[in-house]
Formats: sequence, C-alpha cells, structure tokens
Amino acid sequence: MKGLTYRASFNVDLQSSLRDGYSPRSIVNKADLNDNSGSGFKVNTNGLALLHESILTYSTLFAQHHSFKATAVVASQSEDNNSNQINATGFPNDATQNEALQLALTRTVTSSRSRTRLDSYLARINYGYKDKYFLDLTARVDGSSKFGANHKYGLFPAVSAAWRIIEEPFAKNISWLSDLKLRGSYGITGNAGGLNPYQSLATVSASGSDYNINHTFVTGINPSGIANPDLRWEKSTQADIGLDISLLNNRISIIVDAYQKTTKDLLYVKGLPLSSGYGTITGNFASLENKGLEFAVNARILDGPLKWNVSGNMTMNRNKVLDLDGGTTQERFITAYSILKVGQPLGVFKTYVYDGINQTGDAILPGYDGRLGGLKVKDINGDGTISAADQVITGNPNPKFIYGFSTNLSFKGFDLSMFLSGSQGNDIYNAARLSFEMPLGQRNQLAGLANRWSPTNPSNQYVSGFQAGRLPVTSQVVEDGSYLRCKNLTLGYTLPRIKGVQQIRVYVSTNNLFTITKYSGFDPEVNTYAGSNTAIGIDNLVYPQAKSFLGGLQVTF
Amino acid sequence: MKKILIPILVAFGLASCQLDETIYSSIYTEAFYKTAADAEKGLIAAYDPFADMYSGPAGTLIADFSDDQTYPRGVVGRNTLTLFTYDINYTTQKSNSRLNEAPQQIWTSGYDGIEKANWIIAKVPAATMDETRKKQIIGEAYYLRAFYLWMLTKNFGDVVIKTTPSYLQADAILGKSPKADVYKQIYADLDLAFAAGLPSYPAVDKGRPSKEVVNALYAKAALYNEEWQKALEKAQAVITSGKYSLMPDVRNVYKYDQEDAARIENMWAYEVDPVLPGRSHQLTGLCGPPASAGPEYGKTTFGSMFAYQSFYNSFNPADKRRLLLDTTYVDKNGKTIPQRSITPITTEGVLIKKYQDPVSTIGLIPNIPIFRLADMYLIAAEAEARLNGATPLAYGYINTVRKRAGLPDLQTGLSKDALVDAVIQERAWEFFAEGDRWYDLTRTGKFLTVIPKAVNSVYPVRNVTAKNKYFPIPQDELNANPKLEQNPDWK
Repeated sequence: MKGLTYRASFNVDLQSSLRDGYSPRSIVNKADLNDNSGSGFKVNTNGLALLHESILTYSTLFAQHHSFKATAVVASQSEDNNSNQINATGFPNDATQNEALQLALTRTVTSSRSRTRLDSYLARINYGYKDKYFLDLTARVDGSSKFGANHKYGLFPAVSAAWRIIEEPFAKNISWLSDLKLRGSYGITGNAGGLNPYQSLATVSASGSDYNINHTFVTGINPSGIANPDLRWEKSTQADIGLDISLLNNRISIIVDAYQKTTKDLLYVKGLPLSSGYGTITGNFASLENKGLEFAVNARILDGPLKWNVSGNMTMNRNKVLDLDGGTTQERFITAYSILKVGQPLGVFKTYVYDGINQTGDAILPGYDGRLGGLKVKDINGDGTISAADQVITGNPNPKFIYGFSTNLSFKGFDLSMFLSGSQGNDIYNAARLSFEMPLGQRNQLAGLANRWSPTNPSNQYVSGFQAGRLPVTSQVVEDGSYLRCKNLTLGYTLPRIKGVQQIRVYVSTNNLFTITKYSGFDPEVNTYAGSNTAIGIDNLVYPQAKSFLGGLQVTF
Repeated sequence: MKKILIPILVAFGLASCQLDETIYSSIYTEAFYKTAADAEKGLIAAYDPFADMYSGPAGTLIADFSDDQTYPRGVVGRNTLTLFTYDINYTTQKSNSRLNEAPQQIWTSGYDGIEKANWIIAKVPAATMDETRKKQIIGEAYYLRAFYLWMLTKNFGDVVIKTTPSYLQADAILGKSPKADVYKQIYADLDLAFAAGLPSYPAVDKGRPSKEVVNALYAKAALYNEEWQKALEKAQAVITSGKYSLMPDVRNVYKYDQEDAARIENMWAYEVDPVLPGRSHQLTGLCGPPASAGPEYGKTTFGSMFAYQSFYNSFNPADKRRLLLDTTYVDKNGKTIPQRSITPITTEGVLIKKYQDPVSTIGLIPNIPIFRLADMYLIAAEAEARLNGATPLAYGYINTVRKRAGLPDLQTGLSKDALVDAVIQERAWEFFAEGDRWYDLTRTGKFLTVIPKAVNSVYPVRNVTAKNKYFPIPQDELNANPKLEQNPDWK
C-alpha cells in the first residue's frame, strides 16, 4: 500500500562490570598481624536492557491541499540488573590476593536482582492544509512496572497547531519578512523519574538486620519499607504558545515561546517520622507550577567573504510549589538546609541568618550551641534564644534567567567561534565551605583560616580553632551563584583543498576558558544532588569541570 | 495493513500483563511470617535495633556522659551531653556523624524495634509452626516492644505508642501519649511476654530474655514509674525464682573470660562476640588508655571516657567495686603509668575497667549488661523502703549487694528517706558506666543539685536545667510528623 511504512528497531544493551580490591597483610603493623589480617572483595554487576520499537506510518496527500500522516508506535523496554558481592577477611598470606577468596577466614556474600519494564503505545495524526495550517493530535499510553497495581498506565494526550502566516496573501508581499509562524500546543506528559522498582509493594528482605544469639551472628528478615500502592505517574500539563519570525531573507530569525506547566503528583522521596520505624517513602506528594519565557535570536550579520553569525538565547523560568501532601503540610525539609514550601520556589534554603562571629564580650544566645569565636546567628523573633523559629528563607537556588551566546566568524580558511553561557540570580548553598572552614585538625582547610578568630585576632569571618564540629547551618555559606562562562573558544584554519582529501582543518580550542562569578566555590555550575528534582543548588564537593585546551587536526576523505 | 496490525495488537495484549513486578531478591510480606523459619528470621529483625542502640552505645553513653560518674574527652560532640549544650537537632553529633552516640539513636532504633516487633505480634499468630515456640516468639516480641518503649520513655518522657505495624503511610504518623499511658502499655506487653512460656536460665538462648528477665524489666519500669508495690513484687519474683545468683567476686561479672559463667548474675545483656561479621560496641575502645597503650584494656583503645576523681574518692577503699576503676595502668613494656600521665586532658584521669578485652583482634567479648540480679536486690530494697520504711527486709536486700562488694552492713536505724538515699548511692557504686545512674538522678530530681557539683578541670561548669530531665525529641521527627509536639520544656 502506497504511503505505508513500517520500521522496527531492537536494541540490546549489555553491561558488565567487576570492581575488586585487596588490602594486603603486608601493610599491617607486625605487632597487630593476626588471622584476620588481609581483606579483599569482588563486586560483579551486570545489566541487560532490551528495547523494542515498532513504528507504523501512513502518509498521503489528498484533494491536492490536504496532507495527512498517521503514526502508531509500540515500544517496550526492560532492564534487568544483577549484583553479586563477596567480601573476605583473614588471609593466610598475600600470594593469591583477592583471586581465591575461599582462602579467607570469613566471607560475606550478598546478591540482588531487579527488573523493570516500560511499555509505550502512541498514536499521532498530523494534518496540514496548503502548507499553511497544521494540526497534530497525539495520544500516548505509557505503562511502567514501578507503579502501583492500579496505576501502572498513564494516558498522555497532546494537541498542537501551527499557522504559517507567511503563506497568507497579506503577508506574502511584505518583502522584509521571510517567514512567520504562530504555534500553540497543549498536552500532558508523564514522568517516572529515577524511581527505584518495587516501592509500591509490601515486601520483606534480608537488608542488614542481624544480632548475635548464642555467640553466633544471625541475620534477620525485615520489612523493606512502607508500601505505597498509590505510587503513580507524575503528570504535567503544559500549554505553550510560540512565534517563529524570519527577517531580511532569513538573515535574522527570532523564536519566542511562552509556557505554563502544572505538575501534579510530583514524585519525590519524603522523610517519614522516625517514630514510624522507617526513614522515607517514595510517592506523589506535591504539585508544582513552572512558567516562563524563552527567546532565541540568530543573525547572519555578514554573509560575504567575511562571514559572521551570532545567536543568543535566554530562558526565564519561575516555579512555585502549589501543595505538599495533599494540602496537609506547608513546609518540609528535603536536606538539612533546603525546603519545599507551599508558595515558594523549589528547594529554597532555610537557615539561620549569619551575623558574624561571637566576639569577646558578646552575649551568646542559648539554643544553638554558640560559643566564643564561633558563628553568631540572628535572633529573628527576638525571644532571646535561638530556636528553629529563627531559621528563615535565605536563598533561592532557581535562577532569574539563564542565557547563552555564540558567535562564528569565518574568513577565507579561518574560522573563529565562541560559546558563552550563564545563569543569573541563583543562590548556591556552599556546603563544602562548612567543611573547609571547620578547624578539626583532620582535613585541609581554606588558607583564610590562618586568619581565624582568636581573642587577640577578632576576625569576623573565620571561626576559632576550637569548634569541635559546631557550625550551625547559616546563611554564611549561601552565596550568589550567578556566572558567565566561556564554554568554548575555537580557532580553526582549513587548508586549501588537495586531491583525494575532502578537507583538512587544523584548530585550537579551549573549554571553560574563563568564568565570571562571585561564587567562592570551585564551580558555580555543579550540583551535588544532580539526580534530584527537589534538592538543587547545593555544592558539597563535586569534582569541578575542567578547563581544557585542545589542538586538533581534522582530515575528511 | 491487517497483517501488520495483528501482531501489534497481539503484542499490546501480551505486554499489558507483563508490568507486574517480579521481586527476585525480596519476599512479599503476605507470603512471609508463615513458617517457623520465617518467624525466627522476623524476630531477629526485631533484635537488630537493640544492637543499633548499643553499638555507639547510645544506650549507655547518653546517660553516662550526663551523670556525675563518668565523662568523655570533649571530641565529636560527646561533651554536648556533659555540658548540656545539645540542641533539638543534635546538630553537633550530627555534623560529626555521631548520631549513634546521641539520644536521637534511641528514638530511631526504639521505633525501628517497635515496628519490627509489631509485625511479629500481628503476623506470627497465623504462622504454621510448633505452638510452644510460636508463643515464645510472640512473647519475645512483646518483651522487646516493652523494652524499646521503656528506653524511649525514660529518655523522652511522653512518647508515641505504636502497637500495630505500618501497612500504609497513614499508619505511620501518630501523636504522643502521656507517660502514664506509656507505662500501662509496657506493663500490658510484659504481662503477655511473661505468659508466653519463655525458658528460664540456663535453658534460655544467650541473648534472648528468660522468663525472669521479663520480670526484671517490669520491676525496673515500675521503679522508674514510682509504682513501688509492683516494683517490689516483680523484683522479689526474680530474686526468689532461684534461677540467678550474685557472682562471688564482682570483678568476674565483667571479666572477658568469665562471660558465660557471669550469666548467672548478668541476666540480659547486649551481646557482642569476637566474630566477623558480628555486632560490636565502642566501650572497650573508649575506656582504655589513649593510643592502645594499656594491653590489659584492649587491642585498640582511645582514652575517650573516664570516671570523675570525686566518684573514685566516694568509694570505701574496701569496696571491691573500686577495683573496677584504676588510677594507673601497665603499658606494653610492663611499666606502670602514673595517673597524671593517663590522659593529656587532665592529671586526674580514672580508668574504667568494666569492658576490658585484652584478647580480641576482631569484634569484642565484653557484653554490655542491661539487667543484673544486683539491680533486682537494689530495686527491691528501694521499693520496700519507699513502701514500708527502713524495714529489715529493705536492709536485707541492700546488704546482700554490699556484702558481695566486701562492705560491712549498712548502718542500722536509718530513716526511710536516708535508706532510700543509701540505696540510690549503692546503685551509683554498683552500676557506673552501665547507663543507669543518670535515670536515678532524673527520676528523683537530684540531677539539678548533683550535676552542678560534679565538675573537674575538664568540665569546670555544668549548667544543667530542669528541661534536661528528658532529652528533646529530635527535630528530624518533628519535621516529618505534624501530629507530634516537642516536649514542653524544649519548645
């Protein structure tokens, strides 16, 4: 049948890893050497991911002006993960290291396996009239094994339409306008996030409960957690309206978008009362709103022998927590210093307000274990004692806007390009500084600590050396995380063509050449909880991005 | 087109039933608690939080660093207990990763244990197994639940009573009950545990409670709740059971090579063994001299916990229990190290010798006593005195303990109050470094007068206040539990 196509794909992803180590007897102090000296381990993990996708499309053009395309997709993916671990202690000698763990005096073994599956079904109709009006209808059903028995499937419909105004007779004659298109869309999307499997089920497992009975170590089987049979898809309803404009023979193009997105049933890991006997539960406990504007401009400024393109984009997003726990909670800590609070952006920082250092003669308020030479915090409610009520919102990790800018210049064989990106108005909780400014005598410290507080050196910045870990969570480490970074700068030269070779280009390039920021940490672009959708803007010692310089030769045949 | 659609529809039909999860490495709760093996495994899980509570061991340290007998070297937040500077978030212990030494560990593990005991109590009755052992297993769970609840109420006052497992999230958020109701629950659980046919010593497994241990907890809980008649009855029931007796030499109660022999007195303890994997605790390491310098104390010791010189001086020199303290030690070269050189923090370091383990390289031998027969004698003495005054019976109980310590009988003709005070003083000498003294001070209100005087060069000022009678409920609990309020004194 004409216009009908079928495409199928199958992907198999096999992963296998071995992590092993050995701590030899030879490094043990001779006096301490005994039967239990020497230890080794092996951890085998393997994963099998299968993905199948079938796409059936039918497209046709009828009555001259009507284009019609129908698409049906069936996709299924599964992931199977296995992990086996052996720890062994007490080797007779170092000869076999960890390659014969059966020689060890004691061995502990753990193994686990998990499997997840995601099935998707999609139907889409694209309709166009005269290359001027477009309408797309999509319906998809996704099913994930991770959700509760009655909540595995989610239906996610979407509709979008576009009007190419440039095709209208009144617009066609405007000489400086080369394209004009108005777009709109409305739809629901689903998210299963980084959810772990089995959380909707009531299960028990041998997960580390044990005791010594009759001089023997025995392991127990304990509840894995509180089952959440209501675990379901996180759903976002998004409306978007956009305009694409091209001017002056496509020399300048502009894209503008405005969107509003409401997320219901936000998936997150919530702390349970310790009195329940459990730590956390995963579920759909919040709703959230995001709205914003996006701009992008692309301009071919020079188009002769000297070519110069520039482009820029900017996104302004505002988010707000709409409710928590079905309206029963107003505020909830997600880390020791960041919260979800109804009416506030995601993950704002809630801390004491830093007020310098307790100087000789200062009255040290009770309630936060403050001491002479230690951090001083503000008594916000003025009740003469420092309590949880004195913790206020002291920072917002969400930027006012993020932006990017790139430029490409080429002349004869030379090309020069640069890409800048930045973020403005976001705060970072520099948790690493707490560690680097807490003199415990066991780790590296910031150089500034040489100037730490003492009765004779009343520093107002660095605490004295006798804090024994006593640094309250304060706004001292909430910093402006705005930055502008040169992500890439490249200079290249393409050699004149020679026979048999299509192109030879030499270039020098640098990544992360410079960063303009007031942030005192290593890298304003990091986030310790990179996988979390709620704990954001936290720098607790993540390896910073490297500045790199590259030289290269590209030969294309 | 039909040819293609059919397989797709078939695929759709097949796939829809394949989203059920296969739980390879765990067991459906409804398929568990069915057999004898299930019940035993589930019960071990209910013991596990007891081990978490005593690994730090928060179970003794939060009391012993607060009292007038022993104190820590001021590191990793231990001194917040001695100085009463902890906050409701236990910030200092938390930032030093030492919650295992903080009151919060009691809260966390207490409720962890209660939840696991609740599952046994709810599910094991339906298991198919030997009925005698089934009853015992449920009885052990009742005992453990009572023990955890008692640990919670003696440290936090009014606490949450949870008697059913959390099947769903809604079951997990409960408010607290008055202390009186908490004790009612403890007694009710202990009555059921007592009726469960638990074996007596020596038939009982090492580590499990005997029938008499159930009464021991009952006696002590009743003592703390000032129900003297109950305390007396239960303590007498243990004493007259004839299953236990005092070790002739008090030092042997704590000696690493006498552990099993000492079970005749040491009724229930936190069990550790020199095995790997296995449960352990820090007391051996904390109490020995710094830098593992005293081989008699342990292979690895830190010099982090000492007794006050004033407490050492309070002993009658004839008291054998003073031999469980020392003002010198012998180093690896056989040289006697004088008191002034025991620790850099003070010239008056007094070493504690209740947890010495000179032999273990992995794990430890010394258990931490929870209930000893000596405790029953002193509970009986105090309860009898409070009920009936300075009777010969009360004298008899306290003198049994004094005699074993090598002391003469207590002076006769004491008033009721004087005898009660004498018993509490006797408890101080008997149970130091066993997590006991602090609760004698708080239940009697003596902590407000005793603690400010229990100072030395390391802790010259100790500002204890009325709110320190109980520890604050952890902020982490309050953050997650809208139904629970902080203790009034800590608001």
